[in-house]
Amino acid sequence: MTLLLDADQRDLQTLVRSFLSKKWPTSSLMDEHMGRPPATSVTWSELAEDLDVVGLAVPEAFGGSDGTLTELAVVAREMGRALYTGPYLSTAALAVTSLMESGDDAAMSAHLPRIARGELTIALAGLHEVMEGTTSQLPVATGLDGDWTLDGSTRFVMDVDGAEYIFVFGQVGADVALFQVAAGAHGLSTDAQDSLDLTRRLATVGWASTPAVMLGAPDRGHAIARRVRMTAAVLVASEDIGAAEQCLDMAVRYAKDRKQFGRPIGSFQSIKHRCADMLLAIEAAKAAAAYAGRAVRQDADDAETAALNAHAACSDALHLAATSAGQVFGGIGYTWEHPMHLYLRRAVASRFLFGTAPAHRDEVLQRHLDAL
Amino acid sequence: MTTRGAPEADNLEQFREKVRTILMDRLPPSWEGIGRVPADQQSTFRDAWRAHLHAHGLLAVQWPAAYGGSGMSPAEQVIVAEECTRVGVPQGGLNDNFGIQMLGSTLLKFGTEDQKHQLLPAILSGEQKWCQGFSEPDAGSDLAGLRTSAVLDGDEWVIEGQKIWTSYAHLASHIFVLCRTSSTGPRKHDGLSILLVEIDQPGIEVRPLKTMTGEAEFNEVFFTGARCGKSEVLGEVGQGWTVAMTLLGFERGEAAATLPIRFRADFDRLLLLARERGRTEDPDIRRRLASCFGRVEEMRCLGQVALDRWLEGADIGPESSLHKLLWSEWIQDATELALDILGTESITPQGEGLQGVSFPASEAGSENTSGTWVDYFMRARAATIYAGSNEIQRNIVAERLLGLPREARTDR
Repeated sequence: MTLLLDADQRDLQTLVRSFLSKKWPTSSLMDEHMGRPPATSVTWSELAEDLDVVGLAVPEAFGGSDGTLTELAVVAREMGRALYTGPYLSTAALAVTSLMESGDDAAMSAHLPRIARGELTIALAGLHEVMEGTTSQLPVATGLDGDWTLDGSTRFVMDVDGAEYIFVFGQVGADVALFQVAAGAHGLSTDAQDSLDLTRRLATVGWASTPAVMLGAPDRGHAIARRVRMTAAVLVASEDIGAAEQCLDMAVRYAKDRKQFGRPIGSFQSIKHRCADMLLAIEAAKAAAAYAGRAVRQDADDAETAALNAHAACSDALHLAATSAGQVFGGIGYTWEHPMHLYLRRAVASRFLFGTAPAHRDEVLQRHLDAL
Repeated sequence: MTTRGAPEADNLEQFREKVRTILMDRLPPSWEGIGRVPADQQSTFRDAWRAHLHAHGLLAVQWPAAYGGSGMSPAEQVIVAEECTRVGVPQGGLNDNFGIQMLGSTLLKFGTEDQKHQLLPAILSGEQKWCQGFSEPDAGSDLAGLRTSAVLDGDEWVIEGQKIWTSYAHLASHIFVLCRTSSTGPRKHDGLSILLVEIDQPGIEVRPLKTMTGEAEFNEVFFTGARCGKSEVLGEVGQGWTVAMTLLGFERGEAAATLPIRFRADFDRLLLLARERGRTEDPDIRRRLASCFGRVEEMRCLGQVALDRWLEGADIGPESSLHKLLWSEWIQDATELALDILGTESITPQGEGLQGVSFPASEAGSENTSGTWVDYFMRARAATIYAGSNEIQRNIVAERLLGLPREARTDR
């Protein structure tokens, strides 16, 4: 299987990119923060019905498009480029993936068709902890005859607002399992966080004897967590790289237009080389993400390490791109009004939300040491 | 690389096994790689190995069969390169990169039928060994500023000038020389030609160039009234720059496949070194090891992308600058890390340096000693300078991949 996108995947990329560039343009990203009504917006039903990307990974039998991780990654990359704010990652990607990995027929039949039709959004709590590898911080599940309750707290949960359900990873003894909780359930508290990243909606979710339904058989939890971790790593990497590419594109455009000393600043070597370094980091990281996507799809032996490596590479590439582009923009990029800082904020959050690059690289190194 | 079950994939798998068998059959069971062959046996081994490859149609795999090659598809060429790299054997003699890969491929594209029929078999048989005369003391990054010139004297070109950094000229019988054959034309790139010249003549002197590593794989070549025939031009007279750029492009396809394998092997040796010396729990060393590993894997992935594109028929153009930037800076960081793992033993390195060509990566089977790593560190200092300095590569990336404007120059 090639690492290159095929014709259909390239068409999907073009479709989503041109849609978002018109309906979620970078030039309007700061509208709501400048007290202006946004010039355009994107509704969830537009994504589901017009663009048909919400049910992308849902099997055809449940009303979806039978797409793979590669297709999801194509969309994620464009959403990252646009800094799209919405429950795509949580619902269209991770909720769908975890339902399918759970093998829970009842839950799949109940939710997948509704997700594909754009009628249902689902948040995923415990993702941060699973990505970090700090599963001992997950809420503790207590069960009696198949009735479960959860106690604890999960941080940095994305897109809780408007979600009909929250899927949450919980500790069951020494294991992990995935649970489903309805919005408004007893003991469930949501605390929206004022986050540095203005393009992600984050909340701390508290659980106090909250009733929960286990998804899938008790021994599937580990497999679900593993699948979600790998999938999220690839998709977050894709979002990061899309955002990084937009930073580079903006910087290059500016460097060609902005003149000082009688010529475009992009003709000076220091600017040129800085842009070259951005492209270098981006292309290498993007290749790592493509490789990881394929490895995870094929359940290759190195799927997990490839996914973690891709996430680390793309997270670092975004950080470099956002800070470097900021330098190319000079003073104008430092203003509140210019969308540059939104990319920087996304880069900072991305550095910590899904496990850090150094921690993931260390995990990959340790596995390699163990295998040597 | 390909999914099982597809007929083409199965054929390629069979082909890979066949190649591996040909290679392994000729090697002792204890074979670890050419990096383990002692210095005084390298030359004999290499000559015998070249003959073995030739006998089994594994030399000049990219040439059409009509000219003595094996006419292999790009996918098959990659397999041969990969298996040679994994097994740790050379793909040819020391001059074959210049003769078979660069000159041979360029002759197939720009050469006359006479040239092809005369030169290609001689290159293949080893009767002619070629080296590349491009850089000059005053023309490195600014290659088009070269001053070696040739004028027609009846039926012969007469060449005056000097070339430098000529790899393996001391072993070569012939040299292809980029020189100025006319000074008309608006740009200094115009008026250049590549002449095909026999070394053994009074007008040519080859002088070894010892580098800071103590080795002399490079040479200076002095031309004082050197001569070649009027028709011994590669391509048209005055077309030299275009031909030269094409020639330099010919290694890129397979390098994308083989370099990642070799650098990954280098990383594994580095990791073993760290473990042997008890340094894997040192936080600074560990963090740098993890970063090195991440980067070597990224290089492998980018190499795979380049290969996928090449196998689809795309030309590998300015993207090759990205690869060069990545690996040259990687080996510098990796060898620096090796020194830090070794500590004071870097001051008094034990054992021999790297054996075989070990360019740019070390050879398979290289010993894991302070001797080889310190040697590798010294060699790696050149990696950001040769094959287009990294400053030039960054200019290429910025100008040709990002479209940023060229800066003002005083010589155009």
